[in-house]
Amino acid sequence: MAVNGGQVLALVGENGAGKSTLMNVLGGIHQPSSGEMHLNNEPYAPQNAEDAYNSGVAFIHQELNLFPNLSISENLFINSFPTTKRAGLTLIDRSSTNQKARELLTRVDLKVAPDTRVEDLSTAQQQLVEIAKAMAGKPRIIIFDEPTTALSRHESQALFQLIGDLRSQGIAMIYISHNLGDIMQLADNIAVLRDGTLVSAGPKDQYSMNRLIRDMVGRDLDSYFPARSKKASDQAVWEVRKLKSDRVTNISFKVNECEILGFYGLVGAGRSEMVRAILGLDPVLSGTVRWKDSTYHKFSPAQWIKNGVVYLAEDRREEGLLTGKSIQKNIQLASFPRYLNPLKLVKYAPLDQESKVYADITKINYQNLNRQQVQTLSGGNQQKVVLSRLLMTHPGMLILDEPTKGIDIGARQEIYGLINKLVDQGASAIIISSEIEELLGMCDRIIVMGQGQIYREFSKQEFDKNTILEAALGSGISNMDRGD
Amino acid sequence: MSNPVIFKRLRGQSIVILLALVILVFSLLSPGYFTTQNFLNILLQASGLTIVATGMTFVLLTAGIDLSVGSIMFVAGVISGKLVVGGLSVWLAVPVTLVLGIILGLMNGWFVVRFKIVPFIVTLATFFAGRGLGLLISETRAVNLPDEFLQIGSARILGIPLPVIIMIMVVAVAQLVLDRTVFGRQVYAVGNSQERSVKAGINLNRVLLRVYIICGCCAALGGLVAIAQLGAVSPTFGFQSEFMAIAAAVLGGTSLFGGKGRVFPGTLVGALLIQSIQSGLVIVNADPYLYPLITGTIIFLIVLVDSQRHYRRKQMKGIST
Amino acid sequence: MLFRYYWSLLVIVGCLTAGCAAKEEGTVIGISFETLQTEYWVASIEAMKSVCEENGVGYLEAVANGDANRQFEQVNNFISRGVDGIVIAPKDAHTVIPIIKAANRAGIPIAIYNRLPAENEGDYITVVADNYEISRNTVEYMAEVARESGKKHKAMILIGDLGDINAVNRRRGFDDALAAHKDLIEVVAEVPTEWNQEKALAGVTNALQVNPDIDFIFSSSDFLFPSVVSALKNADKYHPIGHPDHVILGGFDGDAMAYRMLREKYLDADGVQDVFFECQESVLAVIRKMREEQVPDLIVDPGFVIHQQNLEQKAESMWGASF
Repeated sequence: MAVNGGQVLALVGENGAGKSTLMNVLGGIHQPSSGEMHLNNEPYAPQNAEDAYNSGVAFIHQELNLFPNLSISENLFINSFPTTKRAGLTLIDRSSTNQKARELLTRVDLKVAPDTRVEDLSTAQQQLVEIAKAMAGKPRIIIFDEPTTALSRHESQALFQLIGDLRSQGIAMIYISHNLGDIMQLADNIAVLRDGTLVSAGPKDQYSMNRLIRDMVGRDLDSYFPARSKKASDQAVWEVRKLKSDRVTNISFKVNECEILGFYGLVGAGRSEMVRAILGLDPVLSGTVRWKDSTYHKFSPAQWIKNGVVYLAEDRREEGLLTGKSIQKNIQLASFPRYLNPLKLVKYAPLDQESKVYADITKINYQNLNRQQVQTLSGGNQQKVVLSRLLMTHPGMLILDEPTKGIDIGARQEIYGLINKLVDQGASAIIISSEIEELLGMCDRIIVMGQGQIYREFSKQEFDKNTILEAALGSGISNMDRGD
Repeated sequence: MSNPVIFKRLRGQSIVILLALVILVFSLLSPGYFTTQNFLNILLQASGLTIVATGMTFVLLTAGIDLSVGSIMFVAGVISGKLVVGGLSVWLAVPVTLVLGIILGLMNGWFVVRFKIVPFIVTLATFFAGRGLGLLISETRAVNLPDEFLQIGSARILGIPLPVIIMIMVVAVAQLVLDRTVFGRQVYAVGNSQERSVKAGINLNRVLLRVYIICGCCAALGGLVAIAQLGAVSPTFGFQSEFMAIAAAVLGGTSLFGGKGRVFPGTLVGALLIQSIQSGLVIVNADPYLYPLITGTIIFLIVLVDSQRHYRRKQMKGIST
Repeated sequence: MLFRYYWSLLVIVGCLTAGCAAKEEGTVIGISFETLQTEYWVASIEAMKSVCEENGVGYLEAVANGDANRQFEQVNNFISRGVDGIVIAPKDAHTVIPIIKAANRAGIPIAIYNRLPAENEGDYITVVADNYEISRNTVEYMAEVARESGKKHKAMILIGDLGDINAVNRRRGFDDALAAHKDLIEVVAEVPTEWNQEKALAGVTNALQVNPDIDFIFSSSDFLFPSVVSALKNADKYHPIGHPDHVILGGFDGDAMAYRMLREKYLDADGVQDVFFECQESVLAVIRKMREEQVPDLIVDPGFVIHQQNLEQKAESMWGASF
């Protein structure tokens, strides 16, 4: 495998294919058991992260390694501040720190004062700071690991432009992503890993989308979006009327039985905020929700769970999972009330049995259900744990916020299958996604939101990628400018 | 242009406003309160606590905690007191005390760094061990110090008591170190996330070791300053000082979760606030049963104001991104 | 998580301290002290141990370092090791009650030293100093000194921890003694100290600053004297008896510093708890009860006031004089 200066090598593979291990070897965190690496025709064998950094290998991780409580320039130079000596004390040279920071920020095209605190930046801006930090080490190779998971479409495009600039500056890049669309757009060369071995590699023109998927998964994917057997009925079971919170206004929509409704919009359009308000996680000013035969004026997560409405949070690490606890505990979390004996004590035996059933339904790849901690699982499997938990409550309504974010293709398809199966059994679902293909493939209707309001609704016959994108951008121009 | 900046800064410092308010209320209640002498007294009485709390702020900034400062004050005070009583010069006793503080801080830091034990546990052990050692050495008797000690405590330079000058110097140097040195900024980074700090190439162990040494040294110095005013080290000296020090730092805006806080004005004002209230209550001769009530109310107010601001800020941020 | 560690650590420390000085042959008494953090407690436990030795009784000792829970565990430990009697200096008036119940259940006689339990339930002997009377008598003596001078006086009291019944009684004694002298002595400052020297120093300094003419100070415990003296020195008000600016001083306990101050003629009067008497009574009461003799439920140490006039004859009963 080789990368040349001024080129982008895209590295793809399912979770567990060995991408992370490979990157850890490159970064000096693990040592190879055999084989060798060369950098600029010299042998390259980093013993630790610092070696790698000094040799000009820089990482942009999926999770940003920034200190939000410090300023941009402090983040850039936390371990290499320019200093001056004054009265025997070695002090930070503020002006030259800021000067150098400004130069780096110009290179990544981030027009923000260097003493701005990182916590005041948007995620996209933080990512640029991370890249600027990588630039500070005068890198010869930059490795991007899933850089776009937290970015909106527009922000991603800005990032790609920057990657293009870096390419013209002669820097080699390795780009790891699950988003095959991005890869086809960016890469000069592609390498596919599966089960820890290099399956294929070559220039981009040799690859089609189908070949990529085949190489990654090791078989043809019969159909990316599994079919549903039942048609949506026209009987509305869920109806939101004139919902208003301090973040969203005038939200009214219906969901029918056996129907999947999609919400599309740019980041900041208010989709997650709307859901949070409905769930009672954020305060609601006015509006009602009708679910089956009851109408609710006040909302709380506990009340929804009791009535069969479940929610999959966008940020599963922070909101959904106890990562330090076992898989089994996580799956059971919402189901205790159904497994109480007359003394209101939990009956563990049947509960444990059923959680195993659901772990197998969702095909979690586990070694030991009640010992293994959730944090040892890959992103896709973690998502399946959350799904198992939701399914085990036998929900009538699924509200899913970015259900496949950061998850590889194989696992995605399984998750789509699960959702469809549930809807076939009579449930309804709301899916929020920033990936338009996902919504087009899964949903019966799509609602486009922006600025906290509903812009437009599309029925299945009207589905068209470009029209929907336009609708989302429509009056969202001001949002875009801010992202710059 | 400068006005909004000052306003913005003040808004982030609800405690400064509260201090002003406390001073105003007590001044209205008693004419004896708003006097130079009383303010000097408050500064003097807060000097020991402020110095200890300054060291504590460093530890809290790394998301650690040091429960042993009271015991360090005590054991360092007892040992140096015994040495002075045994004939050592007072001027030699001071560096000896500081070195003792540094050694105890080093021990704390070493256990935290080397064995990865939670600071709470390590310093809890030092808390017991230090107090036990001090009681053993002093045989649970007060160590009465020669008058030279009291003279240091009541010495004045340009009319300002020496303890106050020491306090101001400690606070100034501490804030300079936090603001303007690589170590200082790394303290904030470590407090935000130890894992990220390691990834960013920061020598985590060195930073942690240093903050515990600083805290131990400040505890010993703060203890000395208090002893120089008391003239004796009693068996209860320094008891619960760790809570006062943590309270002063937290009142001053230092987060117990690390990464946020300042020595100046934060911790200094926190300590002054505690002392102003205490002093004010004595001066107006308040009912003794009111003391804990009033102190509790004020702590509650500050926490309330801060959490409200934090909440609103989080909401505003949510809208803009 | 942290708290689980914390508690297990406490239990370990508790077991270690309870394990000292085991002499299990013959009759054994368990002595449990809340703390050894002032000289008073050290003098007490030493006195009890020597009473045990004089009577040929073995003893186990345990110190709870101010933790009521730990004290409870330590006493349970005594019980399971089969002691014949228990003497306890409890953390406070309430937490001692379950301890009494545990001893009663095990049928082991128990004496409560120095603090009166909050409820009168169960079978136990209390040995306490009459904090109210002693402090009242001390302040009464101080008031007489004040009356002799003929001047009007302004008074200050240093109050202890208000959760401690003894501190409350001493304050009451002070108030009641001065109620009869309102014409002469005005109380201008009450300084709460929570039994903390630094708070005492700050409080006295502040009070002296607002009321520079304070010339009558009663400290609810002798161990606060270093603070009082330091504050007085700073205000240039620390002068021996006979000096025109002498501040009338009184204290409570009878410790070594108070004894020295009496000798050096700075201190006018000190209320003394008769530690030797109390400790002897506590241990003997338990021993007598073991032998199923009749013992009164409450033994009160009348204490005494030591002052410049009776210094010579009372000094030998003052525990601080020999400490």
